[in-house]
Amino acid sequence: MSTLAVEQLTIATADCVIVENVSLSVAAGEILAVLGETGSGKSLIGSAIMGLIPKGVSVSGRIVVNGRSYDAADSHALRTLWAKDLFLLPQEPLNALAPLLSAAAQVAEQIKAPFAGADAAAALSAMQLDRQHHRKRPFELSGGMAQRVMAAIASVTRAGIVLADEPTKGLDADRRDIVARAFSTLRERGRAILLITHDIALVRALADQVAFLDERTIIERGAASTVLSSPGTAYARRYVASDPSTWPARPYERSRSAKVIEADHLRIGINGKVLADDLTFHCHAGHIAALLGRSGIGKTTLGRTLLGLTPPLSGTIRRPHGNGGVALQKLHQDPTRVFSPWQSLGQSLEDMRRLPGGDQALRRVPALLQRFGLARDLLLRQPHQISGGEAQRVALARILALKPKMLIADEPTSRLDPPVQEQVIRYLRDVADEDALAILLITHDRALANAMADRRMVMAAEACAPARLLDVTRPHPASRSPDL
Amino acid sequence: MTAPSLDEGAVTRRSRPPLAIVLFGFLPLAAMLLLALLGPLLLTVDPNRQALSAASAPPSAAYRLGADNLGRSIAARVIAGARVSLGIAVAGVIASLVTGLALGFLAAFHAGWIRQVVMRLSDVIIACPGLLFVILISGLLGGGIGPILFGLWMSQWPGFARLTAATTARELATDHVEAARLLGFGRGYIFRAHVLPAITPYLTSLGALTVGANVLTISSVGFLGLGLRPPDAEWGAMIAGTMTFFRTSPHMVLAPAAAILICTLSATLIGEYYSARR
Amino acid sequence: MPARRIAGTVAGHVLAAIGVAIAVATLAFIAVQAAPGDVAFRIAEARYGERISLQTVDRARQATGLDQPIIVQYGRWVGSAMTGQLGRSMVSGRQVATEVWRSFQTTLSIAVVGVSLALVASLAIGFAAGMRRDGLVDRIFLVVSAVLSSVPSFLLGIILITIFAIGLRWLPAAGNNRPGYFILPACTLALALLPDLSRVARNAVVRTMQDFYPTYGRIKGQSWLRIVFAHALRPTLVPVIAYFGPLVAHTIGGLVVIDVLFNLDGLGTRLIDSVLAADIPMAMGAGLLIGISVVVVNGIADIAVQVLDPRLFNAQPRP
Repeated sequence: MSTLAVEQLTIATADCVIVENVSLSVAAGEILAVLGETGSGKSLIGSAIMGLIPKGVSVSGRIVVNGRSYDAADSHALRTLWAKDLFLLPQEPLNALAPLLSAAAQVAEQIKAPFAGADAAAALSAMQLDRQHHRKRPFELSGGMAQRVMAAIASVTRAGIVLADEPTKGLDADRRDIVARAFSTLRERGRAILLITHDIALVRALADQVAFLDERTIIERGAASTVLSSPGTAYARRYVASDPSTWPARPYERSRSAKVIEADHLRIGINGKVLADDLTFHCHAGHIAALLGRSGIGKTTLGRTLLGLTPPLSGTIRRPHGNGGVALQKLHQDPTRVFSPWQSLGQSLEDMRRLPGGDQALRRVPALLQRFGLARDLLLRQPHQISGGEAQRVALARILALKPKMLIADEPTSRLDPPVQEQVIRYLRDVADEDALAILLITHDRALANAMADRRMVMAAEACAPARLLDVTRPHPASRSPDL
Repeated sequence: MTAPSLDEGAVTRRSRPPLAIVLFGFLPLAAMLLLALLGPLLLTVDPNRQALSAASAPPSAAYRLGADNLGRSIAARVIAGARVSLGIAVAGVIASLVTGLALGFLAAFHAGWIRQVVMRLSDVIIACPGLLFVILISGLLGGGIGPILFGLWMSQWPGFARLTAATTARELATDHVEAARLLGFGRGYIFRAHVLPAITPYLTSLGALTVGANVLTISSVGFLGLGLRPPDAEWGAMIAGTMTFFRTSPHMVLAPAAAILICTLSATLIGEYYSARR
Repeated sequence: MPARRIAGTVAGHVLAAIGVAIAVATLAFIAVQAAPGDVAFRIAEARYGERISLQTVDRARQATGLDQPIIVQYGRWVGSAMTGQLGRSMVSGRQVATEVWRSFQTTLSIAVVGVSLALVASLAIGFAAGMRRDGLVDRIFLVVSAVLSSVPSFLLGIILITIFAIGLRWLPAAGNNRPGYFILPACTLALALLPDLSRVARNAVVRTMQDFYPTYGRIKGQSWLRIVFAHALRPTLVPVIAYFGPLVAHTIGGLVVIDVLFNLDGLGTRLIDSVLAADIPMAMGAGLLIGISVVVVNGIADIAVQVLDPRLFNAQPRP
């Protein structure tokens, strides 16, 4: 039976120790999840096991594969185990697949036997990839499909130990379940799986064992059932609590505040294609309205239409007036990209002076930075030198300085680690409550919407018809909402 | 009262080019440009004055780079050639850059038929051999500086237009431009703070590379006898006139060849440096 | 790749070829008309040398149809060009089609040999330099290619002639009537094309090596041979083939110079001589053949790239 053990692994560069004294073990038919935030060095643990440590990084410790012990620094020896004992499911599978071969061909080339084609099709189907996608090449596959192709490749190789590095990175919650199922299939086939991720929901769905990585080393480990329900350390407690599915649902309350934006029989689309039709809704001051729906259905286009960046195909929008046209603002998905990359953040904020009322706005900035827990010297840096959580808070501060009436937040936390996501989302809730700001929260995360939003709307479509909007704030027990 | 500055002591990201680029790129090109600009002051001899007694003389105190087969000072002719070659090369790039920027921005800001016309026209011209353009125009219009310049401009503005349009359109689609628009910033500010810094390295790179390519093109045209009217000095024509003496008096060919090499190589290095930086 | 797309691409390029033919004819015609001096006078000068009189000029005018209105001359030429008749030279009186065709054969043999040499050498050099980016081979390559790209092609030719024709006496220096005449011109062309082409190849190899999939092939347990030939070869070749458009433009520009330097009866010489002599049919004939060559090579490269890499269809920028 396959087993993997890591003993006293230390990874360091010339300047600093990244991972210190980490020991792990995972048995056949078991999934061990290593949870940690971006930059905690968790991916480097996977690289060390595979013998893929980049130049300039030193490793020490031992890697035990199926009872044989290897020096972690001996990458040459570890590489001889590739595909025989060790297999890697890397981040961003689209970059790992051969660019011009079909999914079926990539699985088939791993099967060194006659009639590989039939076996390959069976392996792909076992990972729930429909036959119509088997002949597609990587550039025609979605991220979720590519991850399933990778799992199929893993399932037909002899390697008993599978390392998976952030398999749900960049995937929607609904795609996450499909990937989780692919991993359970691999587990049923007796693979020992080391799952490296920041995704607490995936861990909850999948892991048998959990290890938390913080401050260079593992601070807590144990069976998933115990660690996730009663974490012992403060960090693990905070991490587990940052999963929105553990938060209490927001109680329903009748809205009494003023309507800020109203859309009437709106039809939206881009490039001549109608995405959604007959959208009638409104948002209230001080409320968070969540807009749910699967990816690609038109949530972002609806946001852009409300903002006036895309013209509606028909229907009317009544937008808030005042403040020289800046009453409606947007919080982007990737906060590090909303500032001009050629100047410091401070310069970007300073430039608000050029706006009407900019001087006043600029005077509000220091207080806002303090409110969001941001140090002033952060402003001396360039956008690429700060973390996603910090950037999102600076972006929020810049927007609030202009005193808008409404904010359209398009997946504002989907690129952030769970503890950071929680922090940003709580700030958004505060801003709605204290500044009477209307927020339209575009998200694919139902749990997040349940916990945070006063109203929940779902964009859903049947087959190829344009999407419709359904209010699911108070789901009627008899009529369940349609499939998302 | 104005709001307090939030940008005190900010470290701006502006790295200086490495020594090798300065030594082999900026310095030689600057020297050649200086030579071209100060040419009339430096020339003590008329580059066209023939002294048959000195014909094919090797480098000496009187003739620093020797004399050609007609006894003309090669040093004087190389300097006179620098005025022609670098003058036309730089003027061609400036003309093409200005035209390309204008049409490129037009195409980027106004998607629609203007964009289609500019882009299709650029595609057609870019597919044509640039040297042929210059040769045909110089041949038909009887040589001289004007036709060469016109030919260079005709064949080169589309490259600048396409680069400007592509990079500008890409910048306009970024999140940071969208955010700036929503905050209420005007076109001028977005252009200055968001678009211009993004496209400058691309244009600098193409501009420098084009200066180098132009020096080569001009020398080729001169070599074919379609450039300046003899006896005026031009590097390519100097080589064409003396190449039969290459084995006996190599200095007559090597001096203008070195001038071409220095200009082109330094411009290429500068261009490569900026293209790697973007 | 769907056959319909290829058919569409082919149709597009055929249309482009026709468009180029008309454009070349028009441009050349306008240019010659705009040239200073009386065309008939220049023809007479070319035909009868110094002994020209008003009578000989008039005779040349009538013989070449220059006494007709401009629009008639233009229409007549475009019409006959479309039906494959390029007329007779105004200077020599010979058939343009046969003259141009003969020049084309000279040019084509040199171009094919030169481009093939450059391509083989570029792929080898690009592979050697790109496999280890910033390694010793790569650094040497970058310096040498920068220097070589700064040397005008006629100087390369002069150096080759001096060494191999005058010094060693191995090969003829000029003309196209002795055996092996095409070797030096083809080598000159190859050297002129080499810096840019090898840089494209090197960058393609560097890009492939930066991608994760070749390494991942090893992690999956595939052999190097399979990774190189089944996974990486096609995506790596695409930029090289896509470069054939600019390559043909460079080739033609280089060939004009090489024709003159080696005193060859190629298309380049033909074009320059006819333009200088205001020999309209000949200039148009040569221009037409060059234009169509550009379109054909561009078209073949375009289709080859689309067959090799269907991703490029999805790479359309979205507004």
